[in-house]
Amino acid sequence: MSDDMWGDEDRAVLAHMPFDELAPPPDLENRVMDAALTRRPAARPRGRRGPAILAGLAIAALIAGVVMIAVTHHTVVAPTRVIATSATHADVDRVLAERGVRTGTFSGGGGRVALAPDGRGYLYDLAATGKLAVAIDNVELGQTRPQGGIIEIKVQHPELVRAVTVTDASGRARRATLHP
Amino acid sequence: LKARTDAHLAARLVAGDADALRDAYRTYAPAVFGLAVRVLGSDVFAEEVTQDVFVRLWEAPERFDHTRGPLRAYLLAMTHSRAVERIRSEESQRRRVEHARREPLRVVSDPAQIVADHDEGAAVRRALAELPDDQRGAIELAYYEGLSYREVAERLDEPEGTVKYRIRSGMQKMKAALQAGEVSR
Repeated sequence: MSDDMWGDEDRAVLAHMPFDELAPPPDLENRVMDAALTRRPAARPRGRRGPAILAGLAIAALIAGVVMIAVTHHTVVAPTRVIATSATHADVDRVLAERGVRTGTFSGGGGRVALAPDGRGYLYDLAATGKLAVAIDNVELGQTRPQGGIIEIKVQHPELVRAVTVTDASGRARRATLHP
Repeated sequence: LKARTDAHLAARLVAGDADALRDAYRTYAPAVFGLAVRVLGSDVFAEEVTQDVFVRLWEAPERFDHTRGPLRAYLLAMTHSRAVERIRSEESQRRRVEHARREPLRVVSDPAQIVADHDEGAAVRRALAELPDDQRGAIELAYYEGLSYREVAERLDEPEGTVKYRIRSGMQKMKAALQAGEVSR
């Protein structure tokens, strides 16, 4: 119960107790960002502020235009990000077992994709081990390296996603159309 | 200025600005992680707590009220709370005992170094360093190791009432130091 024995005034004092500040592991920042944004998506695109804002707005407008062309629906697909994680095949199996999951196989083989109704998805059984650019329909989510043949993704409005594309470093693209 | 900065950061967090979370992380993660390591004695558990603290900040930024204190204090209070919850688990309890065996209780033994610290908490740390050993030791056991009054009493082989009195007396002196420091700023 020890934590309950401190009141608000105590906490204001205890915040100044001495201890050594320590640099967290470098990868923790991205893990924190990914975990946080999975729980509550950002209200505006992530990126550096300042002079880049205008460029960012221009890019966002361009992406929006591409999405509007690529998607036949009136609602814009809003991909959030691609995440390289320590996801396992058990995670993939769980999504595959979910009701309403949509799946696809990449053209030419070399991997599959599963996308759950809540927007969680996995690119799995990926043969490529190098960095891959991942795109939802025509909108690139980001680039990452598969871990154990798996890349985890998270998208908004998954019901509007028609296909996932991966492009390797040589520029070779493979596309998986989702069914049903 | 700090309060205004915290208020601005909080407003950006409430607005869903992911860059604000990154800014908060880069500013305060060393303190959060450092305190978590200090309490838990484990980098792995400290990473979990650090992640949890910043995810919670992002999920419910409106819980931070900048009029009640700085963001750093808010995050450290949350860190301490989460860390104590963590060490309540059986596994953490075992690790904590091992850690205590490995590393003796840290005692602030260099008041001069603390006096030289000019940040806003210097007065509190100075007050801590100047406390009688029995008061300071009891507070450090309770805070850094997450022990209850009863557990501190058992550790020190003292009556619980004595331990409670020492902790409350020490806390009163530190509060007074903090208030004096705030007045003088």
